[in-house]
Amino acid sequence: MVENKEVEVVEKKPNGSRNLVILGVGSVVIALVTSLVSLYLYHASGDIYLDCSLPDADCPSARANSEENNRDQAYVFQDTGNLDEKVIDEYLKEIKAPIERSKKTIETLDDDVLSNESLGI
Amino acid sequence: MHKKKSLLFIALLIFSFALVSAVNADTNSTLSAEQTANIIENCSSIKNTLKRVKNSDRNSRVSLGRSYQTIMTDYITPLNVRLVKNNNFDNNLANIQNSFVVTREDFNRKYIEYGQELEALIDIDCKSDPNEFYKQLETVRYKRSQVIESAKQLDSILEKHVEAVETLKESYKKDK
Repeated sequence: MVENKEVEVVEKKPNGSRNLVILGVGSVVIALVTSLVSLYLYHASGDIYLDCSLPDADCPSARANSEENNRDQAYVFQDTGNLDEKVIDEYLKEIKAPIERSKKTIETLDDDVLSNESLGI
Repeated sequence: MHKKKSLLFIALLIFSFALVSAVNADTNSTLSAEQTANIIENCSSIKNTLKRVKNSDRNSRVSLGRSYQTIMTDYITPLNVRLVKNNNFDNNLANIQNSFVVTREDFNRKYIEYGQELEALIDIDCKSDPNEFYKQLETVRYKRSQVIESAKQLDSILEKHVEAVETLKESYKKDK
């Protein structure tokens, strides 16, 4: 009877190395799962197609000194105050710049860039 | 009776199979032998061009996104809010804002679809599978044309907005 009790006490001792392995493997699995979920979201949201920090990406418009980012010249129409002819005139004058910018960008989207001739097919 | 039915069923199966084969053959026939040879020969240069297009389109998309964001948050929304605060709600301008929001979301979605198809195209080995490559290229062309069309729609909505604001300006002139 005394011998059996001694055996039980020995079995209850925590297995440190085993727990360490479980902790390590568990951490790796959690890291892998979260990384895979993040990558999936990165693809599914379409952010991957807009990411200017990718090695092969070169987005002048995303640079700090770009026209779009130049907040010193940025005009923001206030949503408070009276409305009169002069205010609307100023609004029309200011909105022209971003509209022209988008028009110019659309022009750079050349329809022909994927044609057989352009690709040498 | 059962025999007749079975024969009819088999005949239908053969006919369907022949039809599908004919359609597939037609798809493949869009690519001539010369074009197939060109794809195999120029595979690496075609891929380089596609990567350049991907990069330049990304730049255009980022630039357009910024412009649309500026127009929406710094101009269109505050103008409509100011009109409401001045008890002069303009239904036409509000409708234009709504259609701009919807078309912009459509533009974003179409660009994601185009990006996915372009990525799939770049991943295809054009040397070993030129037919599959060309089929995917046609899908990419279609998706890209949809992106351009959507951007042009946004452009025309912005023109309508400017026209509506000019009309509003005229109404203030008359009230003077």
